[in-house]
Amino acid sequence: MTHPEELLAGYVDGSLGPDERAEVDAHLATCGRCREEVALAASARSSLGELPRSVTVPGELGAPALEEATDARRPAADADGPGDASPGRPAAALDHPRWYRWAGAAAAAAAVVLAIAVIGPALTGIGNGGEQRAAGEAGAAGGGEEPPVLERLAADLTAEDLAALVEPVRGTLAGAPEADAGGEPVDGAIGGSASAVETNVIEAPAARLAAAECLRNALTEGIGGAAPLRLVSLRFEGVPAYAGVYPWTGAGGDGGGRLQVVVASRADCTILSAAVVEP
Amino acid sequence: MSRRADGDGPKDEELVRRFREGDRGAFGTLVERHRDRVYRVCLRITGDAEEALDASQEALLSALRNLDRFRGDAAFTTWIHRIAVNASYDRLRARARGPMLHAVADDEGPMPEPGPPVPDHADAVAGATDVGAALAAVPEEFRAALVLADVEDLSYDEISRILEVPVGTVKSRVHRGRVALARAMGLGGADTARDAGEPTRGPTTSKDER
Repeated sequence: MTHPEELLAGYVDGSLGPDERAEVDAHLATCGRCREEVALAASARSSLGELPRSVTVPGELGAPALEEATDARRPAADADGPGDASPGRPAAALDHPRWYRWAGAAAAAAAVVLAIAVIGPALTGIGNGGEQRAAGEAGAAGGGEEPPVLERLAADLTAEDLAALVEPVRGTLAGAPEADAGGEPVDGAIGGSASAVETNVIEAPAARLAAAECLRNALTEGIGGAAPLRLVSLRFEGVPAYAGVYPWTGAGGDGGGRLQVVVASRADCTILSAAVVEP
Repeated sequence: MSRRADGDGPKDEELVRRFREGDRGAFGTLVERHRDRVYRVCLRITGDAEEALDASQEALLSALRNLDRFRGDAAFTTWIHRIAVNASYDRLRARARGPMLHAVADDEGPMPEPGPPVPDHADAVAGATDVGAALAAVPEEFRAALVLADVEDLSYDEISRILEVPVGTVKSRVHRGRVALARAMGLGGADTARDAGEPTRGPTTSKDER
């Protein structure tokens, strides 16, 4: 006996015409195996249909592709370092020797421990978060969580340079960041660097949201709901990364106008470095 | 859901055309439109949130880098589905080769990761873990067809175009996939207790009604 396997799929989901359905009915009348399969298949289809249509999609999904799409200055091969044609993991994760990532994580972990210890459990930005969100709303089009424009810094920073990232937004805790748009050199943005560093702006909202989400995933304490004052895509010690400047809600709730810089690896949103900057 | 009506903004193919003419932002719109679908397909085929993220990232990069070659012979959704399926199977093959090629293995040194890079989506929805886990037990050669048919609700013709196999093959794979899934979940068929006599009828919505 041959089993009409191709027809059984349509039989279960009701897409057979009347003639074909009759053919299958006739077969099923005498074939216990196919009757059982049809029953199983119907149960399976029903279960699959109950899967939620919406799954939580990671915020950083699409960020590497968006980066590359809008990176008109550099050829694609340069944007994420060598070997980005390799399949599977995002390029950055495979390019860097294991010892480097370990060392980076060690330094970052120390910084994170310090930051969390000082900030304390009660100060996850909830109290000030509302304030910052309102401030963010004043400057941004959409909801309170809308991050500022994502700037790309054509530079490779080290830990010493991080403090300088806050320069353009110093003193702007209550308002929209003074981000330089479109290619204008941000003079002095990198402390100690003699030449001006170019930035350009990545407009795509998905990229900005992905960057903000990536940083939020990396450091869940100490940012809370606060929107970043400045959002930068750059290289940190050779690793493609995002850096975000946030108000620092230090002990006492005020933070004294301090800002914090958080740097996260773009590939997997793990923290690379963090620093608190004095006003 | 997979096609935009005329009033809902530029069609996918139009966005591709604009991108080629220099509107880099058009790709961003395409990503926003299709990223959820790409991730969902990768998640259900790979069965793992982290693998799904890797596969989706790779799929979107691949879409970008091959956008020049998209000629419009197929619909854009067909094309991007195909890329997502291929990226998912790349991950499955890489996983099968062993942990050496999986960069995460390198991170299991003395330093703990500060936090999970990807939230565990499967746990976010009650009940979904059973089906999601059972899908991983469906033989890989059936899995893509099954996911595209019963999760993405695509027609057999569309799946045939995506997977580039005959329609009959698609139907056969879908049926075998469903049976395998039911067995993996320990589902009894609705009427397995019944003996000879009334054949069972498919209870769910017809593909024709969509």
